[in-house]
Amino acid sequence: MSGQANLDGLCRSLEDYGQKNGIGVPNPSSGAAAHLSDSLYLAHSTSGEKFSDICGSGYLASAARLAAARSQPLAPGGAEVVLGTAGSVFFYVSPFRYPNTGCGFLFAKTLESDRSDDGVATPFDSGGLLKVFTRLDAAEPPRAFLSRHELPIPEHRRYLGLSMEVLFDKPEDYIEGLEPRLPGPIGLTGGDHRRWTHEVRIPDRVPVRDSHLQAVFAPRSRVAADREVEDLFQWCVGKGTDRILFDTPHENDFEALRQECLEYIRGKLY
Amino acid sequence: MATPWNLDDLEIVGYADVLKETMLPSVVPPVFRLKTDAQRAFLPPYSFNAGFLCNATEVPRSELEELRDSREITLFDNAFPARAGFELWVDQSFQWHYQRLDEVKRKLRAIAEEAIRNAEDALRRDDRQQAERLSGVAISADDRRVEPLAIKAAIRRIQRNSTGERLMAELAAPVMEERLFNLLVDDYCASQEQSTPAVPASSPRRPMRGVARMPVAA
Repeated sequence: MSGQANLDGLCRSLEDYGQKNGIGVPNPSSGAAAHLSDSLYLAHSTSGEKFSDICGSGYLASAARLAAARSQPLAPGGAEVVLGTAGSVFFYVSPFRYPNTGCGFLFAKTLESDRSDDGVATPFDSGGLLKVFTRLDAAEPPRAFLSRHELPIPEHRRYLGLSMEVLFDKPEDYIEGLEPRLPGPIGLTGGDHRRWTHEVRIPDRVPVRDSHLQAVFAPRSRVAADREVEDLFQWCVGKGTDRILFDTPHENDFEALRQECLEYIRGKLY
Repeated sequence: MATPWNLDDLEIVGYADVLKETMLPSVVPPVFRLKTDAQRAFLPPYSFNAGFLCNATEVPRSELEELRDSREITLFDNAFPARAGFELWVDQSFQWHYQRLDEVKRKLRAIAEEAIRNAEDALRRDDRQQAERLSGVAISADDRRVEPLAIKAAIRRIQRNSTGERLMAELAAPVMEERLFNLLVDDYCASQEQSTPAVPASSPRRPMRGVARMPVAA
């Protein structure tokens, strides 16, 4: 089934789901849900070491590309290998949500429009399908489940807007990471907010020094101490790209990054 | 909410980061496991409260190996007991230490102090590469010190990189107001100019200039 057919089917099942639960579903979504789903950024966060490499190379690269560059095979049991997604660069359409990371990039929605021919989205974190989330039909192979939910970009934002409106108390709750009021028609349980966070995958690599780059987040000390990181921030100064510098408590760098990103998105989109 | 764990019941198997040279020295968040069950490990984000590890993410041992292979954590060859009031840090030669909080602070401050002194000397000698490297060490050791940022800003000014100089002022802004920061940068630039024997070809060489730095003949 094509991505567009998946999207139409998913939107229909969400409308049916809303009606069964006594909720009227405006399609397309309206007001805040439409605005937020249409303008939300693509987030990619990473560790300090990888961030420095990305700044140096100028690209976000897929696991497969990085492994090839190191002449090392990918672990055969890894989620990306099992699901066939190792050739992609991953983003969440949300604030940073990948734990144990301390630096990150936000890209504008225009990246999706630019890569609509080869990029794809799912209305959940695909990596969670293997060990974290529980599916209604455990017998269905994870790869088949993933394929049934692959949606075109940026059109997947239509389903995002509808789900913000139908499943959450208010659309902002999706961004804040608050649990939805209703689980929705997809049938996943378990795990955390990544169960309902939209994921976008773009093949191979994505340039960083590019007009789609919306903002860069890094601890102040990283920018000051690492020449590769400093050079990227200098590029951002020259281009007027937003630069978010912050201090981190050492046992909780991710929480500092997450909070900075939330503050940024609230300031820009609410 | 995740169960709080008494640190006396835990041991440290690594840290939740992978470091490169420009990130050293660095305080790092430990990866813990239960002393009584090596299959149960705990990752950040977490917090400490009265000798307990709170809100940690529990993962099986197999996931630790996956995270190590994907360069997200570093695992030690041997585990050692966790202790309340202690902090894990890695020095400039990638050697890890597990010491009392106050001792770690003291050591990192001393490393920053020495690195700043040596960076200032290197800048005076016009060894900019060394001055930059040492400034990075000082910032990694103590990110509240403003001198390394001013040294780097001075280097950017000497390189006529005004964007780089402006970025350093932006980094220093939470610690020092811009006017004072610029004075400090002026001072570092002046110290470098005074000690660099850069005499333009068109200028007559002043008598005795540089003589004080010449080695005394035997």
